[in-house]
This record gives sequence, structure tokens and C-alpha cells, in this order.
Amino acid sequence: MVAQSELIKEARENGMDLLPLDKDTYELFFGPQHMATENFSIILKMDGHRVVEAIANPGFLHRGFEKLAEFRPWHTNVALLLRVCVPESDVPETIYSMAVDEIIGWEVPERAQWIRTTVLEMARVSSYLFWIMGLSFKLGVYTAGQWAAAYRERLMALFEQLTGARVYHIYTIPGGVRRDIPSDRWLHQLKDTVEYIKSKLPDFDHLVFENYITFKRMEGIGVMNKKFALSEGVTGPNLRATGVPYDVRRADPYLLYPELDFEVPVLNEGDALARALIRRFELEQDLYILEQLLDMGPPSGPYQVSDPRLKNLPRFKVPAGDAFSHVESTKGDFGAYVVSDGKNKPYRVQIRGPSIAHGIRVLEHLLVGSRIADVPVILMSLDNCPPDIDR
Amino acid sequence: MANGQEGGMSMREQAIVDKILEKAPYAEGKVRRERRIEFTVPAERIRDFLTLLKKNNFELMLQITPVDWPNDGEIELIYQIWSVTHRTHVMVRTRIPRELEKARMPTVKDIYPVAETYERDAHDFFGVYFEGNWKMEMPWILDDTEQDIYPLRKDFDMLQYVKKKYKILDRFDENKDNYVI
Amino acid sequence: MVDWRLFEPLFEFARKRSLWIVSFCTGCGGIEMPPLMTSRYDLERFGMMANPAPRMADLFLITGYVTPKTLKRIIITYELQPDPKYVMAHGSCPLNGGVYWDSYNAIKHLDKYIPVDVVIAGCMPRPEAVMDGINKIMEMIENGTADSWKRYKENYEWYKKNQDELFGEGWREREARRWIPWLMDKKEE
Repeated sequence: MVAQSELIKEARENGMDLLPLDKDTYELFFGPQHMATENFSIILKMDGHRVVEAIANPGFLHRGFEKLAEFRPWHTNVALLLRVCVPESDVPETIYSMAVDEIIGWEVPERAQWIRTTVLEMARVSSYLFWIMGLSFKLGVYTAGQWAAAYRERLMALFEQLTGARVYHIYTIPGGVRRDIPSDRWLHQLKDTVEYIKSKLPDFDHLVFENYITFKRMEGIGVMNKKFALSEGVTGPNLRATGVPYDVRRADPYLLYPELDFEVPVLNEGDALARALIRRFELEQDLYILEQLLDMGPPSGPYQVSDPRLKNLPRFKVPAGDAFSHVESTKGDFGAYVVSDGKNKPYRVQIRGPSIAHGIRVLEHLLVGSRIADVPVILMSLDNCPPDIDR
Repeated sequence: MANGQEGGMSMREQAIVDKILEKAPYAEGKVRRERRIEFTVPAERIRDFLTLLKKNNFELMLQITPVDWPNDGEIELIYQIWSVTHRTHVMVRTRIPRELEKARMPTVKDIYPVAETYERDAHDFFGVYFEGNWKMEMPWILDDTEQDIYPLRKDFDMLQYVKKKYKILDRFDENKDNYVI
Repeated sequence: MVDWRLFEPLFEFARKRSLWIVSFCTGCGGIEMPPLMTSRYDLERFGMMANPAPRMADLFLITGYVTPKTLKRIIITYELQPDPKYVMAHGSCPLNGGVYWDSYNAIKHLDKYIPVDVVIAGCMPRPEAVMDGINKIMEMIENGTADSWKRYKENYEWYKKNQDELFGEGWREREARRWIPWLMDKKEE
């Protein structure tokens, strides 16, 4: 048995005395091998079960998209850049396509706009269901998680019919979409699915969002105020939970959103519960938007721009210029900045993931003073998505 | 698409640009299209200009985009800010020299705290050093082996690097200029 | 003294029916794990479940592309697992780089660094494909061909050489000490 004083001495000699060893403090490397973090690491300085300091350590998912995009032709990049946001892969394709459309000056046909809007909303619904699953698994409400995953499968099946793939759709391309809606039957199925999920929302309320356990675990945790959230660049539901009604679909309308009727839910508390409830309300709004889109019906016409240059995609050139476009994803404001120098490959593509704002500094700030058991809940309530930090 | 709407629609943006330019005569500004404006500012005045923007309700900094222009010997830094009040996206462009020892900027993290993260990102991938940001040397996305090579710069030879690092591959011997994936 | 080798077929049968997975989402394939685990595809009927601790896990699912930074953690996690352990690589990216074949920060051949039993092709592999891979690994466990953990022991020098070539000598110590300067004391803000 070695005396503690000797251990302390040895640690000092080796430069390992990070915190006073006589107190109940230690460093905890939280992640990447952890169920809550999805390959993201946080270094926590702990005092007992309270977090004293947190340092976010991203970079496990970095693949260098921004470099790779400079080596691939314009249309091939769609198949690459959508991998930035895994649960909602239509968002990066759409922002990239919208930016390229803007540089070229293409008017996307109405039918393509309708399909793009529908696909974005479907992606939002499936991403929110995925998030409900994650949240209920972290809270220990497993039944709701199983249900959410099962309902998401219905949307996955519809995506598969429309695009041919479950997760990475590679569907929205510059100038429109890759192929047409398969049949009217698909529209009916989508309508059924929307109605079905809508009818199941009260069940989720009952199990998760009106649950005493949820309130106990999430109320008053990770509180941020309006000023802090704005100065830290937080967007999306996390910002709206602090009382700022900023939604890209309203503030900077794109596609068909100016014609659609929906509310932007806002809460003022700014804690984990408010962020969770905002997402629940938005899920309802998204289903409502999908209903409106289906009532509107897809306009007739082409689903792509007709341009003779599209015949030879590898040699397809985009005029010099740059454009920024952004859409509202379930995580927040997702933006792409594309620069072209007139060649058949982009000069520079930058993707702005919303998590880079709320996943680093905000997370570090919110974790201070919380209990170790609240760390996964705060992570989940912020809806931190590591791939879009790392890109 | 939105860029089809032109003409009288951009009066609101023009008013914002005029208001900002009145207070900042060193800058140049123009309206790109509806809800998109841009300014060009000399690098040494960037802090003054961003303070001015922050006072004029440009609250959300969305990103700092470095773009490498090796032919001009410059790196362009684009501060992209969204105003929730004016519902306008603004790009503040500035250019700094490209050489590693000269690629230095004052930090803006006291004006927009989130800029700290974006500056770390720009430092890791482009080698732009932001003076005053103490997290500059902190480990960020890239690993130790990529620490001083700044992979997003245009003169970084990716295929050569990959070939050396991972010790592969016949496919890399194809003519780099003409490969089509 | 009992010769436990006599009971080996029985053990293999039991192992095959209770594969626990390390819950480590190494890449985008992690998105297909929750659907696999939940009611639609329901992997638990094979006796599988995701387990938080590598100490109790048998199967390591490499879900998707692997960056060098992650690979360090994968190697450490893999070595934490007790024998026998099996590795299943998920998707084209660990197999040959996939869409990241020219990326400076993605591993091209995972089997140079840790041994792999089964590889599922596709990007992203459908849940059915993953279940097919699991069937395959169960078969291999039963007839004793899933021997990657033995190969790792026998050829440890080769694997270690490849790992050291990629990360540099002494990467474990460097990685462990990497954050110490930032944890030592408060910097002035």
C-alpha cells in the first residue's frame, strides 16, 4: 500500500497534478464512446457529481468536406455534402442546390419547388421523431422511443419510394430534383402517414411531454437567456425557446414557404424543458405544413430546369460568383456559402452547421454547475449534432 | 427563386447600407439582392466596423468564411452576420496577406462571443492567427499530424498527402486534372 | 483438471446467441442503429443489445467511416474488450474509403489497423444488410472462423507497426497527455 502523500508527490513530478488531489475533484472524459454523445467528446472537471468546467472536444467526424468539394464536379457534390447532417440529409443538399441555383440564376420550376418543400418537411418530421426517440431513451421512457422509431420508419419507407434510399437520398440537385414523384399513390400514402403520426401525437404527450418525470428532469436545467443566446449565435428551436421568434422560413422565406400558413412557436423560459416543448410544437406545425402541401397538390410541369448544359454533367460549368443560402433545419439555421470561379468544380464551399454555435461554447457554459446525470439531457435538449460541427 | 425579385424590392436594404456607410466612410457597401447586403472593409478597421454593426442590431454571427486566393496572395475573410431585427444577411469582406506570419487578424470575440469558435476553425484550416483569442492553440478538429499543414488552403496537395499518409493506391496515379468521379 | 476445449462447441453456441455490441457510433451508420434496435427490425431477438461499457461487449460495430482521431479511440476500446471479440465493419468507408477515398482525414483500409471479421458493403447499408451480416457472423462464430481476436494477438507487431506509422510512435501517451496543459489551471480570459 502506497501512502497517499507519495502518490501526490509522484503525480506532481510527472506533471499530473491537475486539480488539488485532496479534494473530491477529478477529470472525466465524457465520450466519444458514450451512448449520449454520438462520437463527440466533452472533458469535464468534476467536483463530486457537479461539473466545474467543461471543454468540448470535437473533431472525431471530420472528413474535410470543404476540401473534397473542390475536387468534385458540381452535381457530384450533392452526393458528398449531404453527409454533413446525417439525421436530416435533405437540408445540406437543398442549401447547396439553392446556392448553385442562385449563382447560375436558374428559376426552379414550381413542381420542383413543391417537391423540395415536401421533402424538407418530411425530413424535419423524421428528424423530430428521431429526436423524440433519443430524448425518451435518455430520460428512461423507453416506450415512447420505440414508438417514435416505428413511426419514423413509415417516413423512411416513403423516402425510399421517392428517392430510392433510406438515409442518404441524393435527391435535391441544382436545378430541381433528381426524379419525379413516383405516382399519386405515393401522395395518398404520405397523406395517410401524416394523419397517422398526427393521431399519435397525444400518445407522445401523454408519455413524454406531460410526464412528471420529464418535468422533474428538465425543468430549470441549462437555462440561457435571450441576450446570451443571440450573442452566441444560437439558432433554431434553441433560440426560440429563449423568446426570439427567429425562423428562417419566416425571416428569409425560400421555396414555397411564403405561401404556407404556420406558426412559429416561442417560449420564454430558455431551459431544457422549453427547448423540448418547442420541438414538440414544431412537429405539430410541420405536420400541418405537410397537410397544406398535400391539399395544394404538386403543380404540373417539369421537375427540373431544362438546360442543354445538363446533358454533360461532368463538364457542366457554373459562372463565376458566390451565394449564401440557408434553410431552417430542426437543429437551427443551416447555411451554405458557395464560391464559383467559372470552372466545372466549386472554388469553395462552406457549410455552416447550427451545432457549431450551440455545441461548443453554449454547451460548455450550460454544463457548468449541472449534475453528471444532467449532461446527456442537456446535450439532447440542445440537439447537438456532431457531424455538422466537424464537417 | 428569390433572386428573380428585383427593382423596388431592395429599397429597405439600400436604406440600411446608406445608414451604415454614413457612419463608416472607410467601408464600401452594396445591396446584392433582397435581404442580402455586403460590405468591403480594410482589415485594420474590422473591429470598428463590427462594433458598429452590432450597435445597429446585427445580432447573430453565422460564420467566418476564409477563402484562399493564392493568385492574389491573399486570404479573404468573410464575416457573415444575420440581423434578426432587419431580417437581412450581411457579408463583411476583408482581405489579409496569405503568408503564415502575416496572416493575422485582431479577434472579434469580445464583440461577437461566438466568433471564438469560428476563429479557432479558421486557424485550424487556414492558418489565420487571431490575436487576442487565447483558445487559438487549443486542440480543435484536426489531429496532431495535420497541425501545421492547413488543409483547406489551395496549395495543400491533398492527393499526394493521402497517398503518403495512408500508403495507397493505384487509383491515385490517374491524371489528377481530369479525373471524374 | 477439466479440459475446457471439450466444451468449446457449447460455448460457441452460447456466444453466438448473446452478442452484445459496444455502443460507439463511429460514423454516419450510427443513424441506422436505433431503427435496428427498436421495434421495426428488433435486433434483440438475436440476443443482441447495445451495451455502454466495452468491458462487457463481444461485438464491435464500426458504423461508417473512421477518421484517424476516432481510430485511436477504436483501438483503445477494442483492446479494452475481453476475448473473444468480433468486429463488424459497416459500410463501404471502412472497407476502402468509399466516397472519402481521397479525403485526408478518413481511414482507407480499416483492416490494416484492427482485424475485421465481417464487412457489410453499401452506403448506407440497409438494416436488412446489417442483419444479414449479423447472420453471417453468427455462422462464423459457430464454425469457429470468426477468429479476428486471435489474429490480432498473433500479428500484433504488424498491426502495431501500421498504427504507429499512421499516428507516430508513442501516440497513446501523447493522446493521454494532450489535454493536460488545458486542464492545469485557469487561463486569464
